[in-house]
Parts: sequence; C-alpha cells; structure tokens
Amino acid sequence: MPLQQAAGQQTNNIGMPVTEVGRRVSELNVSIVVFDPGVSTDPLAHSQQQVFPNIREVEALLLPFMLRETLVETNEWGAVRIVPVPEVAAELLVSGEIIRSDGNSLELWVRAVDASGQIWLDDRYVSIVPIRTAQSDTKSDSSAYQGIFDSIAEDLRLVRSGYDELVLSEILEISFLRYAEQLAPSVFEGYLDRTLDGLFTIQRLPAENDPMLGRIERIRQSEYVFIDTIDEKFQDLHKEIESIYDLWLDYRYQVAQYEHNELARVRNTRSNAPRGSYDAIRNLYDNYSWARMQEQRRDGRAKAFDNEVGPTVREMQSRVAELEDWLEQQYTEWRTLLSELFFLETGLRE
Amino acid sequence: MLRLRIIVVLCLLVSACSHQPARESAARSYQGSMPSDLSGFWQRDYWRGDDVNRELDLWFRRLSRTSPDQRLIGYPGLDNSGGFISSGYVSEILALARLADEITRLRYFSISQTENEITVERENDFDISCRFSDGVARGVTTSFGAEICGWSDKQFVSRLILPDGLLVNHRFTVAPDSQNLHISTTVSSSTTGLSFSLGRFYTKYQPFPSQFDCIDTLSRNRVCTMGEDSP
Repeated sequence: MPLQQAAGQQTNNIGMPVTEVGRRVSELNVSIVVFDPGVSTDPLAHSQQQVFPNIREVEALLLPFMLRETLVETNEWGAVRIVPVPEVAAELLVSGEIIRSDGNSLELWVRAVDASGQIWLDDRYVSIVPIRTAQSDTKSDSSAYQGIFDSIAEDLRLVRSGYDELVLSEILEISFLRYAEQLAPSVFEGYLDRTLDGLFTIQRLPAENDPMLGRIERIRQSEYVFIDTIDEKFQDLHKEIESIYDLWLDYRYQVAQYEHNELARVRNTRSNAPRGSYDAIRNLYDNYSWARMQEQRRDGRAKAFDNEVGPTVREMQSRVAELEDWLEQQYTEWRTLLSELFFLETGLRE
Repeated sequence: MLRLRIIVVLCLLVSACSHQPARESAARSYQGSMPSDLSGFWQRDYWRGDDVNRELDLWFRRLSRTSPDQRLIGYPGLDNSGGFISSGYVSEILALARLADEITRLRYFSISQTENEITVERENDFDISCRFSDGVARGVTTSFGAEICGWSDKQFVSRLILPDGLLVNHRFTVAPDSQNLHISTTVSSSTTGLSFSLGRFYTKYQPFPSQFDCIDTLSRNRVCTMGEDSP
C-alpha cells in the first residue's frame, strides 16, 4: 500500500488529493486536548482570584467541546475529536489553557501545532460577555462565549489557507510516519528527521508494497474507533451538564454586575456620620461583612454546582480512564505483534 | 496652674487609655495538629458573660478613679461639674461598646475544624474563616478590610482590620472538657487608642438529628432525601 494511501490520501479523477473516504487533503483531522484548567497550586490564591477549581475542571472538559462543535459546523475539517491527552501523531493538535473565566469574560491561551511541528496558533483569546440592558431578558450562558471559538476557527482556517496542497499532504504523511514510528520504532526509525527547530521532515519513504503500511493503517483505524468512543463521552457530558453550566454562568454574571454596582455605590456614597460615631463604624463593619458574605455565598454556589455535576463528571472521567487503560494495553500488544512480524519477515530483531 | 492641670489631665488620659487589653498577639503558625479543638454547636450561656452596660459603667468608673477631679460631660449618674474629657471620647467609647454588643449577640453558632481550616458559622454575619497552609495561617483581604488569624498558645484569635483604624478582635478559649467556650471580643480604634471588650460564654449542645440528608444544587436549590436512620 503506498504511503499516501496508508496516510489516507488518493488522487481523484482530476488529480486532486483526496482520502479514501473522500476527505480533501486540506481537511486535516483535528485533535483537541482537554484544556488545562489553569488553577494555581496554591489553594489560598483561589479565593483571591475568584477561581473555583472544581468548576474549572468541568470547564476544561466543556470548552474544548464547544470549540469542537464550532469546527465541525464550518465543514472545513476532517474528523474533529476531543482527546484526554495530547496525541503525538495528530494531524493538527489544538491545546488550550483557561486563563480566566468569571461569567463576565472568558480568556483562553490556545496553541495549535501540526504533525510536522509547525505552530499554527499560540495566542491569547478573550471573549467579553456583552452588558445586558435592563430591557433584555436574555440570560448569560455559554453561547455568549461563541465569539471566542469563532475567532479560533477563523484563525485556523486562515493559517491553513497559507499552505498549499503539497504542504498539507506532507503533514498527513508525517502524521502517519510519526504514528508508525511510535508503534513500531525499529521498523520506521529513520524515515523522519527532526531539525533544531523541532520540525519534522521526511527523509525517506517506505516501499509501496511494504506490508507494514497496511497493518499500521488498520491499527490506526481501530484506535480511531476508541478515540471516537471517548469523544462521544464528552458529547454526552456536554448534553447532561450544559444547562447547569449555563445556570452557573448566568449566576456569575449577575453576581459580578451586582458586586460591581454595589462597590461603586459604596465608594461613591461615603457615610456622612462623624468619624468614630456608631453609624460610621457600623457602616465600616457592615461593608466588610457584606463583601465577605458575598464571597462565601459564591463559594456555596460553586459547591452546589459541584454537587450537581460532580458525580456525572467523575463517572465520565472514570469511563475515559478505563478506555485509555484498555487502549494502552492494546498498544503494548500491537507493538509486540508488529515486532514479531517484522522479525519473521526480515529476520531482524529490535 | 491651669497649664499644670492640663498636663496632669493629659497624663491621666494617657494612663486611662492605656488601660486596655494588652495588644493581641497570636502566632500565625503552629506545628503538628491544631492546639485546641473548637468544633461543635454552641449556644449562649446567659448566666455568665459580660453585660455591656455594666462593662461601660466599669470603664467610666476606672477612668474617673484615675483622677477624681475629672468629670465626664453628659454621662448620666456622675456629677457634671465641668469636664476635661471631650464628649467625642464618650461618643466613641459608646459607639465601640454598642458595636461590640451587637456583633456578639449570637444565640447559636457552629464551629467546624479540620487539619487546615477553622470556620465559625454565624447567622446574619459572615463566617469567620481561618485557613492554614503548612501550619501558617493565611488571612483574607477585601476592598473593605482584612482579616488575620492564628493561635496564641491554645487560644484561637481572629482579628478584623477595617478602615479608619477600626479593629475587631475575637479570642476563642475552649475549656479543657471541650464543653464550654469563652469568646472575648474587643472593638478598638487605633486612631484614638480607645477599646472596649466583652466576654461571652457558650456551652456545647447536640442538635436534634435530622431525618433528611440535604445538599445544595444549582438548578434545584436544596435537595433532600430521607436519611439512612429514618424509619
């Protein structure tokens, strides 16, 4: 099987590279890693920064899914999947870190790297929730963040538009060879070279009739089945908890607005009572008490959110971990099998 | 002569104002387990503890004893034969006393304590919360003030630092049998040097066991199920 075919490429009647399932070469498969929650290791910094670790863990699972949906809807990419850990041989790997998420705004650091090591994106994206007017009865929910995902999708498209078909084909081939090298290092060592910049380049290609190509491709398709199963878990999670997450966002938005207005009111309307009088000191105490009670109420709502979605999230994570363990066992078996086959066919040991 | 009397008054004022509880000192770190266990449900013991009016009376009598010639303006029950102490001071100490009384009127409250955190849950007021990281207490800072906390031997101390020099100090002392708790609350002003303290006593009680297990949720607020011990 030729490398191009194994890597999922053929040529159609007019010579345009297409995959065996009709995927255009430009339609790279995108793997989106679960986001880094961006939670400080110092637990005492959480309340100062208004970070709720449990909710960030949930957002780290939900937000990549929203990006996934955005990319799928553009109809410009191949398979777009959520993966729990970075894939070494992903055609295009997108990762992100949540810098800020407070109901008023969402800030992400997004990085996209193709299989050759070329960086497509490495930038900060911010989405501000528009201020609602008094007449507006629209709730603040996750759709308020859609703009950020649209920007990321557009930037990916723009970068890709700067690459010609040849470069994109090479990305597919490198992706395949990296996957093959990972699975059968002794067989596929030496086909790729790595520059000082960390970029992968093709040094040589395997023979067209190399039986290993077909085996690798079949294994990869089997792995895709499992990755798709994991991806479905993320879809299910999103369906189950999206409405509750929207409630949380709306609550955070309303609290942020209320606190902002209240803070402004307190600062602008200082007590007229003489300094040291009962009214004056009572005012000082009450202001502090109000601020702390707001903070503690927020903590309580975050706990309520975790009470409601926590079990679902943990169950999903447990299932994903089981699938990953199973896949890891399969990897070990496949590596062993491929190594044995290579020895049988060539007489060469690793 | 007048000048001498003013100097004497000022010296007496300084000595009177210095008759305040010694500056609270608390170590913000400890080693090993927490020095005392304050956890539990506490109810006010009205038989014991300070009465705000009595304490005010004592405060002013101490002040007048330091200089019998001094009289306080406008304070009922004492001669008003001319004052060397401003009514401002009287108003301030009354204000401090009133605040101390109001914030210590709790009938019930609960304290939860883990290896790293102490939380005093109070109704209609913020929870006093102290978190420890590696044995070091971490305070809280907001736009309206700051809280620091720590241990002073076996006593838990929480200090609230507010603008304009206002300080609120709570000192928790649990009895060796863990059934009685004393809280000494001092409200003071660092700008005037005035302070007022009230001590309250509390006894531990066991709340009536609930038949329900409840948790808070976001979409359905409080959700309760029948507990394991329910019939």
